[in-house]
Amino acid sequence: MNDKEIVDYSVQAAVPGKIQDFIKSLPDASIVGLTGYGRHRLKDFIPRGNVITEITAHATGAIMMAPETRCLLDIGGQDSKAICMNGKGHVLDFRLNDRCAAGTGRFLENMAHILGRNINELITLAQNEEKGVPISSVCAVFAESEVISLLNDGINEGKIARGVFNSMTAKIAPLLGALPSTEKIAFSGGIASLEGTASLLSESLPCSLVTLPFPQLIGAIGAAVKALNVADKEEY
Amino acid sequence: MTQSTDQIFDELREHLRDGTVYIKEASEAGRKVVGYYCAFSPKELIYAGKAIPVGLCGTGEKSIAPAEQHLPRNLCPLVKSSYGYALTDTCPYLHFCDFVVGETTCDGKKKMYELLNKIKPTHVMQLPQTNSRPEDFEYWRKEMYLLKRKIEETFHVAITDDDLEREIYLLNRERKALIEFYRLAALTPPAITGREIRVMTEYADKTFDKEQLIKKIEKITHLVKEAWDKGERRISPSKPRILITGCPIGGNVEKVVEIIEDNGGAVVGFETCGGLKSVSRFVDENKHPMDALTERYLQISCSCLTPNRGRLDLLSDIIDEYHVDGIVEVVLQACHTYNIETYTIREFAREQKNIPYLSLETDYSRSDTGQLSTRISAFIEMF
Repeated sequence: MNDKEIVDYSVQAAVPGKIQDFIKSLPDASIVGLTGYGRHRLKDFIPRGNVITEITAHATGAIMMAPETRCLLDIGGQDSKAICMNGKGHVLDFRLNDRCAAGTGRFLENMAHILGRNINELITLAQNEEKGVPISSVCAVFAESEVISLLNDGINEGKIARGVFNSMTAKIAPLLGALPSTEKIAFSGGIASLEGTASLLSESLPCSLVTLPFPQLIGAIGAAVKALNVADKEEY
Repeated sequence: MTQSTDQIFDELREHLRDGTVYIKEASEAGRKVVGYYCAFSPKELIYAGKAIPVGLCGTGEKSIAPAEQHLPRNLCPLVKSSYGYALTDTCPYLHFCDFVVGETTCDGKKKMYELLNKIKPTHVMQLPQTNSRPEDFEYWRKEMYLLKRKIEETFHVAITDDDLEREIYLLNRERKALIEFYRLAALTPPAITGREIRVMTEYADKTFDKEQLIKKIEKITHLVKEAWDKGERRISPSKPRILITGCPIGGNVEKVVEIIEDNGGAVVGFETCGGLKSVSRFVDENKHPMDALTERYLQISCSCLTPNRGRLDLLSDIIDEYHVDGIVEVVLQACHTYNIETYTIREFAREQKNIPYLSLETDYSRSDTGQLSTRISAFIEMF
């Protein structure tokens, strides 16, 4: 696995109606790995694509980027997941958040939006504050109305921002708690790619989050590695 | 011409609705019909009272919205759906029932039965919350006698020990036939799919001529086994063998079975009501029939009992006998007892059996198909 390296990458927003344009923009490759929510849809356009779930993809990608990884936390736009794996990147167990968007990237985006900020500003606000106000971790929609009430009560933005991250941690902790405990947990996903989020989120966790290189690409890297492995096997 | 194994199950599928006609005609001919919802209902007692026990509808999504006019949204879909069918009179089986037998299994059901009683007379059996003490046996036996009296008084019949023994013998034979059929999935590779197991379970549940049914199950088991012995292989031996456990499977919850099998898994058994949980224990034919029925029906390993040690014993036996590679637990939304028990089952799978375990919470909608598919596919990729 270590003989592989990343030669090029790009990140594009998923626009449902523009799937053809997206396919056209891809470089020509004989071996393709597909993962994520649209994996089966993309397979219709790229039949040679090797489809795997984002769980397997993230475990494989994490081992490629940091071979010592045994547990991974991935916070994506729509879900968050905790995965534990062996040294070969084989998934041993995993937990996903339930249906609610609390504890996902979307939740942070929405919270920032209510405060009239972008995510980076939300992070800075939280970092500059010692203690946050309690914000419901149960439901993303309730949390929104809670934040609006807090603003109306004159609570300062920093305390709210900090509270938003604490609420994320409260949502993540049970995911991690379900898996065998480790001191260090690899951290990936779009949120992980933002400076400062790992320390903000690991504050009240019993373990520390270690951000992987290219955190936003871990799933794509895993899908690519798997596709290469499958192609290698077929050659024999 | 002999049928192929696929054709056997296609034919069963075509006859899944025959039960409604049977019950309509039986009712119109003067036969009494008693509805039930749960594996705890002693069907032998009902048959012994010359009535027909019928499992009632409770797995449809359509009946949930009407039910929510009376019941809270945040309630188990099975409870809501069952009530909705009654409210809209859309369950043909319930329509022809003379009365319904319910049990105090969970809070949702026992409170729903109060409302159901206004639509259809409902006799509620008081189920003890635990089952290992002699007092629990005594308590449940009294409930058995109360139901016996209810049937005798309502239908003006006398239920004799001979009647009970006859029905116990008959339904034990049905259980035995079903177990032998289910064991086709214990073969390596399995001779039948999870979908086919479900079809047979449904078919058996809705076929009321039990003598005919037993013959049919035995014939199908024989034909499928014969084809397998001759080398017919319909399921790849490399597929991970999955046991489904938890809440009842039916209606839209079958989506879980479909997703597992469409993503490379082989479902080999159901430790659920209607599945192996319902047929795995026989009624003792050497005891007094009322004692034997009491004992047997108190041993159903439902999460509503505390503790529920019997479920781990049953799971352990199934895992060994069916060579199970992984467990998928299906919990219906707001089913607290099964939901809490997932912790115990997960630990049991991981530590005692050393096999992977996945728990899923779902309802009767199809809106979570994407999420379920991701979780299940990832689970299957682990093997």
